Amino acid sequence: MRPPIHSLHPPLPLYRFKRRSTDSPLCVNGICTVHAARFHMQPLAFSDDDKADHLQCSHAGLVVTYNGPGREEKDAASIRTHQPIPTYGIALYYFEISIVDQGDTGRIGVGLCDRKVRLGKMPGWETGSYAYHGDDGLLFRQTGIAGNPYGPKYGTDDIIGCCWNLVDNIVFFTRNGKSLGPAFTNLTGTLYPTVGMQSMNGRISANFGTKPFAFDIERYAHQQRDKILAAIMFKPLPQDYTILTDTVLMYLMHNGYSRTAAAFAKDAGREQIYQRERDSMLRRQAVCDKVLSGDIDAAISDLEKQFPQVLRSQLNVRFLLLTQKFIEMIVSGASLEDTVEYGRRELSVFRDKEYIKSAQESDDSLPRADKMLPYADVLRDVYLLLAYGNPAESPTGHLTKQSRREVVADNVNSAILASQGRPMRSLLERFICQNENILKHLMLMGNGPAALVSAQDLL
Amino acid sequence: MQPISFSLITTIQPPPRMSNEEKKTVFTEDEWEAQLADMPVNKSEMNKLIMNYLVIEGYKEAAEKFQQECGTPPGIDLPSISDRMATRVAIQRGDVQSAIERANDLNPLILDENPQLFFHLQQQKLIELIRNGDIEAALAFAEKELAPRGEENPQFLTELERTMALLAFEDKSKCPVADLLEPAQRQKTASELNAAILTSQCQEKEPKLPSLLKMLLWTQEQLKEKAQFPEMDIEKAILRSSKPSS
Repeated sequence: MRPPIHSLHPPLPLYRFKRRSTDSPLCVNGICTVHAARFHMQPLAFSDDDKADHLQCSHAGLVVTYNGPGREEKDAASIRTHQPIPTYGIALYYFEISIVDQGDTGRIGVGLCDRKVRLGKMPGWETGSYAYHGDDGLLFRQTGIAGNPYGPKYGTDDIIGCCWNLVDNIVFFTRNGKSLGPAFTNLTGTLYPTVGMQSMNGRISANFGTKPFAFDIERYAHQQRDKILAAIMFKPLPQDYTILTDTVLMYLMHNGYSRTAAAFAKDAGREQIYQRERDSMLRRQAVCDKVLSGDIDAAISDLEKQFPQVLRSQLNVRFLLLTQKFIEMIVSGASLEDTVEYGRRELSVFRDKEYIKSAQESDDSLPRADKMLPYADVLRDVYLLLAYGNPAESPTGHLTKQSRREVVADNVNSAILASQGRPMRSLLERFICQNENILKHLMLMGNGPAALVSAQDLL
Repeated sequence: MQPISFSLITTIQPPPRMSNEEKKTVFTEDEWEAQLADMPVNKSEMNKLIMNYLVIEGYKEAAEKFQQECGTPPGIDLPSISDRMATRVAIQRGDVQSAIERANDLNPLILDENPQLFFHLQQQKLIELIRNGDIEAALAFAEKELAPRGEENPQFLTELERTMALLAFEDKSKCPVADLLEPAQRQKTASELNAAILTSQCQEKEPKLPSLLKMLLWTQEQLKEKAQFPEMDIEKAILRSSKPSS
């Protein structure tokens, strides 16, 4: 594993997927997720271009009228939305159809279908199409031959909702705000909301979440979320409680919080581990403290004496330290000549691609080329400080802050650990990264539960 | 190393939603490690998590030192922590009465609504009197405060009997109930009061760190259904990192 390079930018949020503010609703436009996601594609209207001939689409795609004869099966006509339901990052999808006028026969179907379904049929009759019909209350799953009894018939003035629950992967319908229970299970693919009619003068209007729904989808979403959180909290941890104390102790020692570690180890009865790791921690901490207090010369000479391999093998760390020294000179008001002279002597080489390349090649333990810091960019930011009477007010003034010293110290700490063949990240950090990386993949794979939890809900 | 924001993710083509029959995605160890290495973690957030653990578990000294060393604020109403920690410290040094008084100052209902806790505090008081060799006071206290409660509740009676057995031995270390004199007994009583105060303040009794581990167990289980990836064994990970290194 190569060393993590601590970001040079201001601290990033801990959680990969930013949690939506806790007071904002779980469902927006019929899409339910806890993450602050912006969906570029989502169903918001029926498509005038993706419908059968007998249908007319009006009111910005929210009202659909049937103007065919509606007598025979061949007169059936369906319509899809412009965009499909997002295939990942969501836990629930919900929309509602109001039957404005059921028309002559009341043959109306509401459901989901994929892109390939022919629209000259009623929803549910074709492969990839699933629907609940108003004239008989039957469910049709990819066939028009036999429907299954499901709910009541529906018609004029009824509001029919359709929810794809990706937590359990079920689809259920609602009628006038009440759930009718599971209709379909294990749906796959990219699906669109669909509606179809075979009923003269039939007319429906759609609600894709821009108006309040008849069904309390928000409440339902919270129930789903509580269910998942309960399942998580129900997971039994290994009986041995020392997992927790050790995670804490290793974190404290990894980061060199030596006095906290000593006090904690004593009270938690883990002094043995503490004693074993203590010397190594204190030696690392001595170097880091010098960086944190801005005494870079002392930090470098410490490193040379105690951990010579770090400066030799870690170009990034050397660069960070030498640059920090430059920053400290600027901030402390060293003479301009001295500062510029130091920069020419020590930093200019990092603009030289040949030098960097040869430094890389000369040592296998160097980080891979793609993980090198953008030396030239950083130098540009650092040199900008020189142009300001008060460097802290420069656009790159954050470089003069204590937080920058902390970044350098963290990198030095990791580099020392790496040079000793120890884990460069604390156990706690690895737990967090593992969890976040898994959540990311779960989301991309369309796992519904992952869209309803974030580590922030627990932390 | 900007984190992938959602708007960015939506521009890349995600794998299609998979059916159960489809093959699992496989992540090689190198690939996975590289993804983890690119994942920035905010240290101040981790510090908060650690502080939360120290505060809720009542590691007073460590929490104080931690605040000094990394500047992370304790994150919970400060007076309530110091009160809670003070009750813990009082019990740990044998001063049960002042712990009871402090708890009553915080909220008289804490003891009123927890007869068991109150009994345990009184029992601890008796233990301290016996420890100090104040036999006369111990007997008077047992008769006045503990015996009536023992009559109400058989479990209390058993505990009272165990405690009184301490009086039967000149050399307390030879006594079969010597564990009552161990620091762990004080710790146990202190923890019980600690949890009751937290409950009365409608604060979490549980630190957040265990929840994180539980979530990791859960996410790993979810992903296992769809992919092969390097799993983290929570117990082994601990063993690995606590191995002495050369």
